[in-house]
Amino acid sequence: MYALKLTTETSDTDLIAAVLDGSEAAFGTLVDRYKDRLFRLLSRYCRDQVECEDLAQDVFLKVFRKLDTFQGSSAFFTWLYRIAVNTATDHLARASSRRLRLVEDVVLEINERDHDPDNPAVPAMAAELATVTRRILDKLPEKYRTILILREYEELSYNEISAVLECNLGTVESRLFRARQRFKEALERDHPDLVPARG
Amino acid sequence: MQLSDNDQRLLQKYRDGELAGSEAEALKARLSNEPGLAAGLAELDELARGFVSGREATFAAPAGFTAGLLAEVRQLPDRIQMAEAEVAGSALVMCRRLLLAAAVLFGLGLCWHAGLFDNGRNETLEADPAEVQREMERLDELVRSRKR
Repeated sequence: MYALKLTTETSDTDLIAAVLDGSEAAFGTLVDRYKDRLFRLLSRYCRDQVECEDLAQDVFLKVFRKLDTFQGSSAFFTWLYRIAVNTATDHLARASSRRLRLVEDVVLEINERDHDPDNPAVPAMAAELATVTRRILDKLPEKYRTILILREYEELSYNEISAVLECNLGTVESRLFRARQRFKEALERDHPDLVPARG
Repeated sequence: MQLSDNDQRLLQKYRDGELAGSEAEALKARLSNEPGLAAGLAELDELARGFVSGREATFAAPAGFTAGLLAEVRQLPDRIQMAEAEVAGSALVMCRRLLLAAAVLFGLGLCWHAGLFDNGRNETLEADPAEVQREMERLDELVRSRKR
């Protein structure tokens, strides 16, 4: 059995080795370390809290099953993100024909949950813009949607995006460029009032 | 003023913090001299505002998520069993494919044997050799009579 004292400083590599050696506690530490980040990412693909929890659980179970295939050539979180993006897009492809709720409901649900009437953290205009952005994003082809999520919401660098999507830097750059163009075109078409005026 | 594709790509990289030091400095100098370029950068910032506003709008892991997950993990077979199951699963899939291919080949063979495929013979008339001989003689006789 892998004898490891688990602390917040224990490296991912050590935790992974411990999990592979049968340590359940090490896997718990790994989950605790990345669950918030994973939920944040999956929120961009999910309709509600329950769906997000189900997907997160699915992702972590896949991680547990496939952990022995993790090469360690990239950071653990990019490997986790890759599994998460693939799981979420597969899930969306399966669910696309039976979607009942509209995209704006998602952002509204989160905004309502977070809304404090005495101290409004999110001004109405910003919330509307966030809703419109999410609505447009949801209509984009999957590859453009994912790259915008990784860059604009998750603020990953081009190198990190290339590791998550397993493509080269040139592809990241050009795909991001096209994704932003498609986003802008959709904004101009559906919400011309929100399109920034050129100086 | 419409920016060139190259300038738009440069602005994108600059905004994303992906331009190398010297390139970033050069673009910074251009930005202070070229209003069109500066407007392009402002437009990129503006387009990203909706993302920035929505960054915090996320679902959160509930209390007890890790404990629930670990309970699920305990239900899984151990790693060696999972690996064995995976190998067995792959072998099963391979066997199924081979059987399917064999069945298809066998079916095609049966169809061919039963003459269900067009082998070019369908348009060939078959005749009794004696009848062919008689017809040849008749035609020879006809030619001879014409010559006379």
